[in-house]
Amino acid sequence: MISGSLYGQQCFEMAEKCNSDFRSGFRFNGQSKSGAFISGDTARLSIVVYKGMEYRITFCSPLHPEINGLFQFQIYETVTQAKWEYENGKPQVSSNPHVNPTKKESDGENDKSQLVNSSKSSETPASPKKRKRVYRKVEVLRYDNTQDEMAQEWTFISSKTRKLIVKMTVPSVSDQEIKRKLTKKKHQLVAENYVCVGILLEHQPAAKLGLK
Amino acid sequence: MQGKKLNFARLFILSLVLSFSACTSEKSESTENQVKVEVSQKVEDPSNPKQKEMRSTMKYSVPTPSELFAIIKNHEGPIETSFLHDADLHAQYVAKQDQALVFGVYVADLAYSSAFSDNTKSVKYFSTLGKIGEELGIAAAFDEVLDGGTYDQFENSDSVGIISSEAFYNAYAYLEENKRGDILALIVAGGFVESLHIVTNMVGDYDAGNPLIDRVSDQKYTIDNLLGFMDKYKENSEVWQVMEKLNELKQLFEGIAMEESADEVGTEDVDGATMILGGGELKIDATSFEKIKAKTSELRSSFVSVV
Repeated sequence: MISGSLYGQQCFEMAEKCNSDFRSGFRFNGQSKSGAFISGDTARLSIVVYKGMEYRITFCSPLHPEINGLFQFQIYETVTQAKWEYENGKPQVSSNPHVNPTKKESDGENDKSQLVNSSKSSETPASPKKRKRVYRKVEVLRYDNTQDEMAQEWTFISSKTRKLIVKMTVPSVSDQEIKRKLTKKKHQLVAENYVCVGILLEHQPAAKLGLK
Repeated sequence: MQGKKLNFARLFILSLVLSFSACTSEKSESTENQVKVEVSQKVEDPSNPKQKEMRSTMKYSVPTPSELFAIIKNHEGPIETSFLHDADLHAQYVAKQDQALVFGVYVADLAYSSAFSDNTKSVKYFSTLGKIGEELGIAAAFDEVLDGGTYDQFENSDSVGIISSEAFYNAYAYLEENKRGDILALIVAGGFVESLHIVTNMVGDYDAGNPLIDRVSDQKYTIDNLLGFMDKYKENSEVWQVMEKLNELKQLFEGIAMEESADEVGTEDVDGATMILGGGELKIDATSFEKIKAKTSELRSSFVSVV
């Protein structure tokens, strides 16, 4: 039996080995992670990205190069969206609160949320009476590498500081497409096999792009 | 039968083997899984397999002090170092938990000195960290990056910053992999509190127009992840005590208002990178700032004082 700690010690520096050139001025970011997984595992990692920084996230398995290029990953963000709600229970508002303000409106008296500046909404109420601002947390997909030719890295900048969720799936041997690709690469990944995975995060100041 | 065997193997691996190298935890989700739910109606169903899966797999990363100071190093104004902790006081910390907390404090002080190009102080802090690192059993991480050299080899504070980032990453990974995550949790907490102490002191008196103010607000996200990370080690009484103090600080951050964004939620390409747009922006007011500054100062004092 392989002990967790023994195996973990083989894995714990994987992120550093993902990409050693740190090209283009990027520096290693301490939020990078390494871990041991089995085929088909999915992990979620919460990271904080700062306004004014450019980030690059890369996925790799240096000890199992046969699965490099096959990681699926998505980046999500839980954002708070707002809308007006009226006493009759029928929201008579547009669905997107993130639009430029065109008309000043005051918050309803029932609004107890901490969110402010709701006057920025362009929503037009059908009735000015007894309305309240309702906030919903919605998970927004920011990036999906399956929609980007299975790219194994993503470079991004954020217009503001935010918390992102990285969802990463280790290639599954039960996936026929993965099987086909592994066969093509003359490799085989057994279901019980552990794989060391590195999630490398790098950063560099994005000042050159005009952010404060 | 084969399926059961695989399932058992999977559970075993997930519970024992699946471990990230630094600053991660498996904290129960409090907000991330509240998708498409009214803010005022937070519902968590423990029996929901999907929520259970999310709780079991969510890990938390905590931005390092060096990342924070890399952003604000262009801050204009005199570089003030009087609010840093005296590097010569390291010998007075004997208990492991005190050493861990003050190690984190010095990590932040080094990051600040390095970002603002104070080479003398940077080398001093790095040397001090090497000494406390010996006490904590993580000196190898420093020896590795020094590669037989000495602390004086650094050409400038920037190189200290780069080298120290590598040393800390190695040290943190080593601690977690050797079941000493409680020490790591205290180190990360010490680094966070000292960073916040420095930034709030750099701000001085509240000024809504001061760009550093936004960096204070940003720490709301960091303290969320910090507590998420520490949650894994809360069985340790020292970690638990620090978490309780940090929770008091977190409550103050909860008072920061979220300003709705005028941007559409979306992305746009900027010179080969993707710009993430939209979402709310935290806006701290004078009252919240002063409360957070005072609580941070109180916490920091408790970390660096020796009883």
